[in-house]
Amino acid sequence: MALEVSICSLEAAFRKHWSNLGATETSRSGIESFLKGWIQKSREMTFPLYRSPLFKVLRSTPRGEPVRYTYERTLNLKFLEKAWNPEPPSGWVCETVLFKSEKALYWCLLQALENLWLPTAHKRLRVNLLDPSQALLYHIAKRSYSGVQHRVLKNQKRFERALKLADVDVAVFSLDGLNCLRLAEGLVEAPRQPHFLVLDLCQGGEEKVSEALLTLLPQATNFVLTLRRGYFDEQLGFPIMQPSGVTIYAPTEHRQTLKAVDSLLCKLRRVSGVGLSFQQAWSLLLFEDGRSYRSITLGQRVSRAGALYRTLQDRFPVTWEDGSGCLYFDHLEEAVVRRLRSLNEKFHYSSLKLLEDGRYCFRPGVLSEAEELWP
Amino acid sequence: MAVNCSRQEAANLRTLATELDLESLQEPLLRLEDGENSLQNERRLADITDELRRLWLLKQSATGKGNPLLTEKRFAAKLAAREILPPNWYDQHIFYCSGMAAAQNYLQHFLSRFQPTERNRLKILSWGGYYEILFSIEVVRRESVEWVDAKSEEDFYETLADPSTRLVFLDPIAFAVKMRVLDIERFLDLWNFYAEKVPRTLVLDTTLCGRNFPLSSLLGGLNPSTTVCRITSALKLDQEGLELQNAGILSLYNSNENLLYGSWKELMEFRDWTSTALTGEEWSRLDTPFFLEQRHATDVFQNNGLLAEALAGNQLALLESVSYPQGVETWHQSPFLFVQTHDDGIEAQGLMTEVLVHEIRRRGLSLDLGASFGFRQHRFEVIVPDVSSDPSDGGRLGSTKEPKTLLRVSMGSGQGPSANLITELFCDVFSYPSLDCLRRAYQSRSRLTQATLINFPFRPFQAHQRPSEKAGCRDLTVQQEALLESLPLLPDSETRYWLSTADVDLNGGPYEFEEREFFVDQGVFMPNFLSTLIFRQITLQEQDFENKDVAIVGCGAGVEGILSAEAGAYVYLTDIDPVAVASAQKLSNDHPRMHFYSGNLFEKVPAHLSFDFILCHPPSVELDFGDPIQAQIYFSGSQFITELLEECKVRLNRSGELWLALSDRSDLREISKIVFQGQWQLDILQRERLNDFDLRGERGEYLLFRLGLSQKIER
Repeated sequence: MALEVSICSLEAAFRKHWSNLGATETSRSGIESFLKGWIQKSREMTFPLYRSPLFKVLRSTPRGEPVRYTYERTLNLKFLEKAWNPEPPSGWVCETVLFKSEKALYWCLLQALENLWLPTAHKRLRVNLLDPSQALLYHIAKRSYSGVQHRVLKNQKRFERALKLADVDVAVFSLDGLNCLRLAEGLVEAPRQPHFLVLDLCQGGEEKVSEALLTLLPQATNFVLTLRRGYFDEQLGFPIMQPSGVTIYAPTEHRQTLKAVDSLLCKLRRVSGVGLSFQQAWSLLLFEDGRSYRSITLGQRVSRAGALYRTLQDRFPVTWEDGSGCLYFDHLEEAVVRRLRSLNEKFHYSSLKLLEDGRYCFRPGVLSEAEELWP
Repeated sequence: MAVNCSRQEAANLRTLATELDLESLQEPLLRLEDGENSLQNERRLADITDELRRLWLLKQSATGKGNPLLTEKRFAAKLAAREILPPNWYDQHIFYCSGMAAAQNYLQHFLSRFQPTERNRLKILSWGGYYEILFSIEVVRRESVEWVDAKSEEDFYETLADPSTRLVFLDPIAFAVKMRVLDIERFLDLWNFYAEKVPRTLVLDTTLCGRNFPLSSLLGGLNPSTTVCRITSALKLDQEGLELQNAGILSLYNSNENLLYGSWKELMEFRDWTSTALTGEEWSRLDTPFFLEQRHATDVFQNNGLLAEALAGNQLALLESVSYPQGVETWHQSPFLFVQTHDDGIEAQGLMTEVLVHEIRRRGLSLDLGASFGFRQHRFEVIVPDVSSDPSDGGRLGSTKEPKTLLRVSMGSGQGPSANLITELFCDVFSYPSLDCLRRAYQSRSRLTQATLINFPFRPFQAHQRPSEKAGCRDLTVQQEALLESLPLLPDSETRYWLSTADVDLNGGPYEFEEREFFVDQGVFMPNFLSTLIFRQITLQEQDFENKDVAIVGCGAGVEGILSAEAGAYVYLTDIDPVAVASAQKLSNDHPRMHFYSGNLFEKVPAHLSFDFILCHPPSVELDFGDPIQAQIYFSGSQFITELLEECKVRLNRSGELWLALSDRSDLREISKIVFQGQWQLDILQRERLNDFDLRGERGEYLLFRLGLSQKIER
């Protein structure tokens, strides 16, 4: 990929490759080599800048918008985050904060929740987790001294019971295998709403589900946070880097509190050194139209999941809901699981996950030859 | 300070180039080694330094990543080899993606080990801490975790005596308006007295005093039950001032090897779960022979110490105080100094900064406005300190007078002539008897600044909305796209320089052009040599001006108007600044073909007048009045061009032409897009590029745009 061409033409080339993408090897390798070129461009554009640039030195996004910072760690990522911030459903406002990784996100989020709640022995922060990630469990366990009381629930029923007992301050869910309608009903009937409802999409699940869920939630709901990895949908399945983001939704009347939470997370990111460098942020601005790319990607994934479902349905105990990007297998033989995992390289950002209830969830990558992976 | 010399500097830089295997820089550096010790050579060295840094980073991104753990092990061994520890003390070193990440990891690790509860309360004591470290502590404060940020030494030692104080954050050189030095002997006496009773952890932040801090003596004097953790940012002084990669180091010291190993292991694991390790690519940037070497830091400390000494040793009327560590030990040093003036209000500091910037430019010094410290070049900035509202002992920062603003001067390691001349500069400026005298001496500049403000009412550049996104805009043709491609891209251009009011020459005086001298009044923007030249070439070679109606928008001193009138045109000059119009009128010597109007664009020009040619040279300087930190960039931006084009549509005769002289400090692509969207035909008549910085102070690329209307709009 020639690098002397301008950014506009790089973008145009990218769109062209993307529109030609018929899962052919040529267009895939075209996109991959394009992305390598783009990353190199981001280096060329940002390496002349010191980490603490002189005031006179102009810093700007690929489109020439000025970006100001005195120290790189104080870089305000809103210019990037605005592209990742979804349009909130009516009655909600939201802000998105990006972190360099999923682990860093969990780390800072827990610090923020703790700082907002200031738990004590008499005022514990009761965190109920359904299918949590290892990283989240690690960080939460590290904070056991601080009045954070966590409980990993076996299933959704247990959570509904806890809700009825008003025993939940923070609820963390993975959306895989979650019955959202039932969850919403449980929340509507609960005597007291959790203060923070965290939908962890890093582990799976789709954003449209979480957005649909928001519309079902009762008015008294405080904050809903969606956590997501930024490298599947926002980057078309080709990770330039692996940031993760939290989108904090708050009812419109809590706009000011939302700003305070957003600001706290940004400060924690800064002092923890887990923000993005200017070069990383610059390279991600290729996906400035993040929302539209995301919908394209989701569409692509759904159609891939549908195609794969049709191929596999006669041979495997598989279910697929139209519009979903995931397939669910009631069970899979060990040999099949081993085979899929051994072909990790070819997975190309697909994922296979064992759920709590013993089912497997398979999420085909946008560009993987998913059908070929299956026996 | 520096006896010499650019020569030594060039030799140092050549060593770096050799170490980094950057052959292409050898020859220019060899030439500079033979060159004289001049300001010009110093600037060239600065350019080569930037180039060296850029080439290295690109090279490392191309050659790929090493094994991060092996590289870390190698540099940890380098650190360990440098420190000779007292008997029975052991060390471990961990690298992080920043100094703050190291501090934050340690704090969280400590809390998870200590497990503070209402019954097992923890008191954290801090002294002279960096504001971000203080924020990290503030975040963990709650019922079971108390925090005392000592405001005075007595306060510090009193809290140290409290047995519940178990974690102490200590900056041996307190980051404060009055940088204070820790009295190690007194500290050791008290620490050891109480350490007998309760085990404690000492966290040292030695970022400011570098590796000269006598850690070995401290450890030798400490009660062996103490756990010591040392945190340093490895971004500045450890990287030859090149800021290749953010990095931080956490060094652990303990007399119990097993305990030390346990902590190290836990911290390494914790680092993995927080994503704060350096990646392979990041390590590849740091993997140089000079990483963690001290030769650069020594020069930085020396330059700052000498400047502090010179300023403190002079009776300078405007100066309230100079803050630099006082003491005789080698580690009583800092990579910057704070300068407080008597009148330190924002307005006074604005004037001071403007004067300094003006003088720096006039004298040609290598001293830039910029934050942070520890570079090769010298920097300064204005900071607004966050002082405690507690009046005792002058607030947390320990000043007798709470400052509203401070000047932070961060001398780099540079050995060129600027180092001495910067001392002279500050002595000259601060020796004015009063701020009023300083203001009067530079009064013309202040007045002219106002004029400039009026003259160029541009709004901040807003290129955020792309033309194609604007309603009703048409797509660009292939030719237009091709033309846009050929223009310099704003962020690409290495010739763009941030300009302040000090760069706007408003001093007046003679302006030479074609062996003629035009006298420009004080307060009027000095004509631009290149734009005058371009206009002149057009009037001589491209067009017949005889009896043509020509309007000059933003006429300034009026030189282009005179040249056009002498070429036979009827010239109508307009400028929003009445001072400029009066000056141009005086310069015209009542030329019968020249008419003057003071107003924005054509607002004062009789409505019946229309023109064969409209000439405009929109300025493209950044105007920053009084607050360099919040500098806003002003260009001859889209708003101005849009308004001008709208006016010109009705003011140009059929087949009339609008000429714009533009520099690449403007966003030429954006301007061109506006032109195309307005249905104008655009030719680029001339492009001139200047690379020689010394040619009349101009630099960069200048273009003359000729615009013709595709379709005349009738009035």
